[in-house]
Amino acid sequence: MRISRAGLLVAIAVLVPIVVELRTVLVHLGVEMSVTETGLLAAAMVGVLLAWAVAPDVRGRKRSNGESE
Amino acid sequence: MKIHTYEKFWLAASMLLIVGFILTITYGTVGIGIAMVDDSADTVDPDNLGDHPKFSDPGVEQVGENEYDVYVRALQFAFIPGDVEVPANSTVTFHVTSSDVIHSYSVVGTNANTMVIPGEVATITVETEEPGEHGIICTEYCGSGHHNMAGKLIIVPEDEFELEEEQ
Amino acid sequence: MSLGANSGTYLDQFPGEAKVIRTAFYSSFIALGIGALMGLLQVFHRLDILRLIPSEDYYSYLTLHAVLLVLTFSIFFLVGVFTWAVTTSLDRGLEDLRYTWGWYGLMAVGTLMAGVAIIGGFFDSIPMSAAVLYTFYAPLQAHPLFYLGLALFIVGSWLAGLDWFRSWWAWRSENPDERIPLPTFMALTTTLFWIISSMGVAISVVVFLLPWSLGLIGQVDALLTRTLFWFFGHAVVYFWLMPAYMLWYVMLPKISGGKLFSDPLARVVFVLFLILSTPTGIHHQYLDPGIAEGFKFIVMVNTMFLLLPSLLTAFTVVASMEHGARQRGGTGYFGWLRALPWRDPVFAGMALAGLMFAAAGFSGMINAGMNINYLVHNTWWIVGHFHLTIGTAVALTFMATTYWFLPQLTNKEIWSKSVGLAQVLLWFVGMTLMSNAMHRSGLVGVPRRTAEPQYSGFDYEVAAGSMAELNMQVAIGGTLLFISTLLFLTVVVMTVWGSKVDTLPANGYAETLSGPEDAPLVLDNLKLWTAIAVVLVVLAYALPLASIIGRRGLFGPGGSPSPQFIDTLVFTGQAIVDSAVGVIR
Repeated sequence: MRISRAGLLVAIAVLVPIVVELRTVLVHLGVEMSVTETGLLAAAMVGVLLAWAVAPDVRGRKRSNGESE
Repeated sequence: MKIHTYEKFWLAASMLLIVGFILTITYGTVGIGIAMVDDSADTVDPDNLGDHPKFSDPGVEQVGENEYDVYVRALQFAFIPGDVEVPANSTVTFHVTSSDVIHSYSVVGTNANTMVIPGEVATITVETEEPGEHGIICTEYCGSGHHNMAGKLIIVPEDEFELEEEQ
Repeated sequence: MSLGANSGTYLDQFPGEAKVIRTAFYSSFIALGIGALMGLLQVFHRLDILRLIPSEDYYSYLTLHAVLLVLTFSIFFLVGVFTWAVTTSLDRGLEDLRYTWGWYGLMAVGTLMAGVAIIGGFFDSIPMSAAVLYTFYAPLQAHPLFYLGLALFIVGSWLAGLDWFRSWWAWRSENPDERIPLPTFMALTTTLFWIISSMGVAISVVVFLLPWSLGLIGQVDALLTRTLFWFFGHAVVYFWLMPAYMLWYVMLPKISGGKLFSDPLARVVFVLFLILSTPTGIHHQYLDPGIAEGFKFIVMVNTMFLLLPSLLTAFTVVASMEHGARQRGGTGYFGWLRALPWRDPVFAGMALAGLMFAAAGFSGMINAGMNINYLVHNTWWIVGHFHLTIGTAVALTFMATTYWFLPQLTNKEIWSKSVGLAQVLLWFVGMTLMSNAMHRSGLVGVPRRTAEPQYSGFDYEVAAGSMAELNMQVAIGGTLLFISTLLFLTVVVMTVWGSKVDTLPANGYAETLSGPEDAPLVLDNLKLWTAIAVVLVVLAYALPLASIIGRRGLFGPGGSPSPQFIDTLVFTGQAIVDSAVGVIR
């Protein structure tokens, strides 16, 4: 894990306002998203975040972080 | 006093932002002419609006070629008149007062919005555009029936507008 | 600043004071529970999901929600926090605990009186009601018990402030050459502007509203009492916010594992709040007839400058967090974020509260813009805004730091840090959904403070999404917030029920990178800053108040059935004011 589990949870929570606001911004750019599409986008973003979190750190740097469980 | 370098940059940027805001608002007031509701109208006696030359019989009146005055009384829980009909592409000045508590006179979704305070006459001038209907509501809590206090602003095409329709 | 010299928890150091603070906190949490329930019922009522009571009674829900959360919950909590701050940083107990219990008692009795008057509104058999909302604009009238309760509550909070001053005076006579410790400095400056600003509401309540509700005077002036309310009404939000700021300054860096970036800047920030909090209140009256445009403009400028201390706070807090993260081994431009103690609900809650406060700052800048304010005034936008400020920046910080304070005050370990973390995250997500939808609804004209925003004559024209989606967002958000409150109260109750341990960290707060030795001495001159604050208040308010009284008299236009001697007084006063205004113009 590149990030602690708690850190991951917080990152997912912070995605919520980003997704909600992104939808409004996109409408002003002429892209309408339904609630379902927004949900799918959010799921995709969480998926990317999870993939990043569990993938090994390519630069191979060790995080000495008291939080990682 | 010791101020770190980054702090100085941040401080300068903050001041720039603040001054920028003040300038845009000043431009809105002076340049575009967005006027505040103010104290230019004389006070009235809220208990004796029946004796007032205008508020005793509120409604729409024509005051210029394309200019109209609308007198409105707000009270618990209605506007008199409730529906206001004015022509498109005209200059409309609302004069609103209250005969009891504090209300508001708000055209929904627009900046035609003012508090209505007993004793004061709130004056707002708007330019009407294309024909259509807008809600008018009281947005200041005025008692248990507050949510029933609403009216309509009906903008009709200029050639269909007749003042005599006002009852 | 020798912290930890006197080791042990706060309870070990100051058992008597710990008991007062605990009691204040519990009072605050009871208000939080009831207030949150009212909030949930309001959401369901407004959206027409569930209407338990007639819409006419909705406004009693609303009054109870507002009074219990913004006055009782916040102020009981913050008197506890400031008492902790003063005693910890001066390293001395309060001068006389009987006096301390006295002001606590006044505040508690005041709350009960106001609460009884409001709850009476739900029952026809009780001839009492106070459905006047938290702003109690005359000529709407509440039962005298409501006004009396508010007055006692405010006097109690003044006496609390005096308590902290007494501690500082005693400490100063023993330490004449030392700088005021930062937490004490923050408590004292906050007390000063609180007393200045609440004079306005005190005069309004004691001189006008209370005698009027008792039938001693026949009428009061709607505009004058409203202006006096807002004299206090904006500064009070900083009264709630300052303890949260203090915790971000003195607690967040410590929890992040580092030090506060700058003591001098922190002092500057609190001095700016002392001098600028009150002369901004008229920005709540941009839409009021009877107040000249020039006065509104001056207040707009003051309000914009009040952004400065908040922007400075944003810098210092983030810089302190980054410093802490790097001390913990964090690296990179953004990589250091990962090294922060997200597992700790105290940290996660405070950091997220700060993040939401940034969003609140942006909507606040829009509210302050006097011409764009006409679009959003009294819409749900405003409700969205202050649920981010008081409802998150303050409330979430208070809840998160409770997970630190409660062990200090009870010597018991937090029941579950995982539940605590879930609680603060749930609050963040719930508030995101609710506040975002409130802001967007407000932009299309959905009003605040109404039982039924569904009107028959027109539809709201939503720019993005639909009204149904926005309502759904509010319903989900409000429900999550209520669940979060229940989780919080559960953690508190379970913690208090637990047994004592002796492995808790010692009481203390963050040290600084740039200490008070870098701050000019003049910053500690409280008399000077108070004098400047008073001058600014006089400049901002003397003319508007004189003009209102000059136009309308002290008791408003209309047949005044007030006693003859008052008429005479008013007539004389008015003549003086008129000539004064004449001279100035």
